[in-house]
Amino acid sequence: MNLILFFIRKLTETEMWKSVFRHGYTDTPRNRALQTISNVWLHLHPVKVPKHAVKITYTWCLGGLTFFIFLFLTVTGVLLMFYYVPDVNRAYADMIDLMYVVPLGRLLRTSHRWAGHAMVITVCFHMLRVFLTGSYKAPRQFNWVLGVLLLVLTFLLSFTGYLLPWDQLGYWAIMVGTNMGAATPVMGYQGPFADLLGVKINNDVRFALLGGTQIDAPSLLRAYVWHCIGIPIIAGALMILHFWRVRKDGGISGPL
Amino acid sequence: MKKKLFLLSSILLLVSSLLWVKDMLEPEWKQYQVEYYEQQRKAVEKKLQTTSDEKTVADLETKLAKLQKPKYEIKQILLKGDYGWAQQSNGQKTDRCMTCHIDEAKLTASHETVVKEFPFDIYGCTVCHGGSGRSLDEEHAHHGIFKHKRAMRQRLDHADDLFDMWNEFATLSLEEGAEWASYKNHTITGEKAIYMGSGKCMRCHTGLTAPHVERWKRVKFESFNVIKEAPDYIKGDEDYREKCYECHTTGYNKETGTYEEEGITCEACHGPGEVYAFFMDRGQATEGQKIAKITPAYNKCGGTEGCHRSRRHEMRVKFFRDSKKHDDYEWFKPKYKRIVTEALEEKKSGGDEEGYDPTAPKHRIRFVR
Repeated sequence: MNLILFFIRKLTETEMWKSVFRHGYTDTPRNRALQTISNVWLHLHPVKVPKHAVKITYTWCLGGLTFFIFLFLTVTGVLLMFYYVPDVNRAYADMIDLMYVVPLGRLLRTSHRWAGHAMVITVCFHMLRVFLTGSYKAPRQFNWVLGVLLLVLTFLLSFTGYLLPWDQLGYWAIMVGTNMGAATPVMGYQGPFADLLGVKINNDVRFALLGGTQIDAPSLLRAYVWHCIGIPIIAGALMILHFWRVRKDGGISGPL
Repeated sequence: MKKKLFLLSSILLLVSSLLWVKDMLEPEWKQYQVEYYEQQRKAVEKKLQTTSDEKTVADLETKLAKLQKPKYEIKQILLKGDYGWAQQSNGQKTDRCMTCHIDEAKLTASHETVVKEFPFDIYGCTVCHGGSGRSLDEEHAHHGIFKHKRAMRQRLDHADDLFDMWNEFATLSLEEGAEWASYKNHTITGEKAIYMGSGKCMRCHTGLTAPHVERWKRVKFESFNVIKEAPDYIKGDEDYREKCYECHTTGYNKETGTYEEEGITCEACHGPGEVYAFFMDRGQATEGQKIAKITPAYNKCGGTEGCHRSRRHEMRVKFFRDSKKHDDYEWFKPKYKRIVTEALEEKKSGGDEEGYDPTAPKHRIRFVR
């Protein structure tokens, strides 16, 4: 170690080094903070980390895990989009081809699927942890609300992704799910008070989800667009807000 | 503790990654191809030792060189036809079965009865055998498969199962204008359906639908017996007679020149009764009915394929013109028709007044066997 430091010192003292870098870096707390703040990547990380934040058994890193899985899903999802076409005539065949013909396609698809399941699990545990440690209390009330919205969006991502393989499992799952939508009060045509607003089978929330009165080509396209573009963009925007509020509401939560 | 946990999880990650790589490099189907090419190579080597002819040796050596460096790859048949969502299907159909079932010679041998009419490269496998043609692992590919004839017959729950298969045959066929009824003579195994014989039909249908059955039994069933007495038939050779068989027998096979039954019996129009009889024996009369009733779509009577097309009997005209021995009246007014004419003439002359019996049958037709 000393040897390396010795060589570095030797290097930085050379004529050539000095001609390129006009002055050195003075290692002060201010400079360290400045370096972090003025760099677009480094500023995502807090300048100063409280001691309790290092203790993993308080947060279990569940929010971070969820975000990491979200990034993983984005990458694998984009790769899947190279092979998958949301056309009723092709979707299932494309999925089978991914499984058997595309090199590493099976790894791609199954890891996307398992990561999807994992994200739902970690986000639920994250919420449970926040609740149990009382981290939703002031001044973090608004961030709890954001978290609830993100939870709903995660469920919706999972739900819309379910239809995309266009297999029996997904088809009937969406059938059940959207029929529940049809029974929503006011918004669904089978729900109570639907008549008050003139909500019918062709203008209720189920119709909006399916793009028709039954599961068909528009439903697949809707699920695809919401799954790949709509919900990820909304969730991404809310995540930015969520993380920013974590910092602004006093940093990562710790033992009281 | 933490370090051990980290080590353990790292090892697990490594192992699972290696498993993935192995799965990619050594897919399940590869072992079948390895085995097949190995077998072929050994066979060629053995042949090489026994032959001495220079040209064959050279041929075999090039073959051996190829087999020593086999290319393991996915093999597939892209099938014709529209398999869209509207057809309750999932797009372009592809059978990849021969990736594992690679030995074509063996397959041809075991599909002796069907391969000529339904070559593998046009019709694929799943049309008869079911299963998932796109899949390449056994569990998924063999899901819902009809492995052998027994399983295929068990598939017959409804007549529609058979119709769906005919429909698929028509979709896959390269022939222009092929329609499902063109495959009417095929049973659920893809083989030619068996003609049960009119005796089997008559066991139930003697009392049922009596006017239709009785009429056909007396006239068309006997049509071959009438022909047998025709002088041109008696004199004609087998080539000449074949033209008669075409219409006046049941289940005539142009290729082999054989027929199943003499006369135009039930199955001549209603199609071979194998599946029909199967449903009737099982007590599924409504299903059997569907099969027997598809005849009109088939246009058996006229058209280019049917019996009642004009100038069917032109060849006979020549025979009767050339032979001075026979009166052409005799054969263009067949016997039973003459009986009717004679009877009418008799009636006209008024000779039957005294023998009139109101209870006697109105016609006096007697059929000659």
